[in-house]
Amino acid sequence: MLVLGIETSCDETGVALYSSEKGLVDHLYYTQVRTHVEYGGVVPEIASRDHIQKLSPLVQTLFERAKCDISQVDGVAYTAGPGLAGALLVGAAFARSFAFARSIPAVAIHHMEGHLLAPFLEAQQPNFPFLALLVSGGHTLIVKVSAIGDYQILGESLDDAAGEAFDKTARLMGLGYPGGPALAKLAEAGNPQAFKLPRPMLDREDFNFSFSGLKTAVAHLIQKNPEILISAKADLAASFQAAVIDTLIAKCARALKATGLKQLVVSGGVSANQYLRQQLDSQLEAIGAKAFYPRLEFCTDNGAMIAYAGYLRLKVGQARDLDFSVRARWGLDELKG
Amino acid sequence: MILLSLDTSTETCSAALWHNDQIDVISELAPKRHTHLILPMIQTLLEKHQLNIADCDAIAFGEGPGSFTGLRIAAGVAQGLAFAHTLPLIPVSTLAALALAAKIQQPQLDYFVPALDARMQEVYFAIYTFEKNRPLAIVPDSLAAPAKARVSIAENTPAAWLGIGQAYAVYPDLSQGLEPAALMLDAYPNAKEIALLAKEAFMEGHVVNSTEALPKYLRNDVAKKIV
Repeated sequence: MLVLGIETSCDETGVALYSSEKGLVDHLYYTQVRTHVEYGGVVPEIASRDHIQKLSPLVQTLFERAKCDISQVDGVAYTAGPGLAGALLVGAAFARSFAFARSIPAVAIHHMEGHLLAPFLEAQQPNFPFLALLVSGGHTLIVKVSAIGDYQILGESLDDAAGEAFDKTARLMGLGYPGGPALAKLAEAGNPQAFKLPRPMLDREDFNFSFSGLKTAVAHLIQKNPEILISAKADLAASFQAAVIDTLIAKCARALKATGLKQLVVSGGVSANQYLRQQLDSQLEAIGAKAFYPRLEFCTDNGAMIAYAGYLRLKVGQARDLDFSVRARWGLDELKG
Repeated sequence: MILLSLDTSTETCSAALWHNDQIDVISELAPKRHTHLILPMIQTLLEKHQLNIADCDAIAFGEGPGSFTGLRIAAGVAQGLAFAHTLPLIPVSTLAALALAAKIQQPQLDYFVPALDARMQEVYFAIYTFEKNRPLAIVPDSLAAPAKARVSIAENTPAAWLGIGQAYAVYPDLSQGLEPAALMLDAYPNAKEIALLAKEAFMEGHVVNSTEALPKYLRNDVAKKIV
């Protein structure tokens, strides 16, 4: 079975072909990140306009590069939410119409399910059941994954997502937009113990997060002593990063213990953070658990994870009717197997 | 020739099929339900005529102006359908489609002024006349404040003209002091006229491929830059 996957939920246009026999055949993506820099954040209307321009050429190039003919495609998977409604609609309209015209099934995929299953595109794969930390600019979730479609959300951020906290703090530090990766890079040269920052919600028994207070703590530090942006910028970045990541890891370790699970899937944009990976690997080893990550290019939004999730659902006969409505808000725990 | 057309630019959702020198249309006033309706409409038309997408010579869609999301739905559907069988696409002006619909009803008139509500106190409008039933834009599809559009209408309609579209109801300013022959307020762009216009364009070879078929928004200033 050959599946075409299409992802347009935010500011990345991703397309991929996944084969049940050969695995991932090829994938391509276009990132709009530079487009939105001059607006200081993703502008939904501009994102949607970019998707409708880029999607069709990208799909065409994918087939050419993969040396596949469109007649070989057996099914289409597209992201139907959560995300920006206008952006989602571009991918949904194209994908559903393409499938209709080819008389093949199409399936609507939950964006976070795509991230959750992304490590299955790698050689090292987890087995069900496992715990997942989905951590990006839009989400921070701890999910118990019992099977495909059987997702129980154990914890989530009550305010800013972890990636959002990185970006907002980076802006406070004058690192531009999107400054999260720049902050992480700067942190490599800093001392994570230089500034005492709170580890939010660690005193609580649950698995929820709150990162907006951390950003405020950094703002206060800068306000009190603007000098630190010159003398100790890397230390501040490292201290902030450590506070976020310590919290993420502590809650994950606690959730692993509570569920008795030994495998942790880490996915989403922030899972590319090298400090997070190093800390997780060593701390999980200490408690006899193991982390699984997607390759770096599949940490961010991509078509490959959607094609793969689509393959799993198409394989068991799931398909969407001709309605291609999308859901800007859509709980992962609303999914079924 | 066999030509499929669709339009989702306004509150109306419509699809049409030109086949055996006749046109078959399905149309529904259905705000925010285009994603539910458009593909089933196309399927119904094709099944009725025992055709497949692959049998079509070309696919036409309302390129705009209109609702940004609606224009992207039409372009996305058209691109997806066309890409599946490497079919040519024909983007058609929604304002030209409105003008043609009015010309068919009132053939004795010379000037047609379609206008759609562009929100933010502006309208999309154009002034069309007809040469052998082919629309000719005296004023091209434009975005303007109603008062400014009114000046353009006064200057460019030397004979009786017809105002078409809900913008005349939303913005009385648009025709204030002018004397239109009539106003057709309850008019929406429709796949029927999109197909009729696309048929002519196809004969003349005015087609694009699926990577070139894009919405025509007219309003391009949609966000404030910080730098």
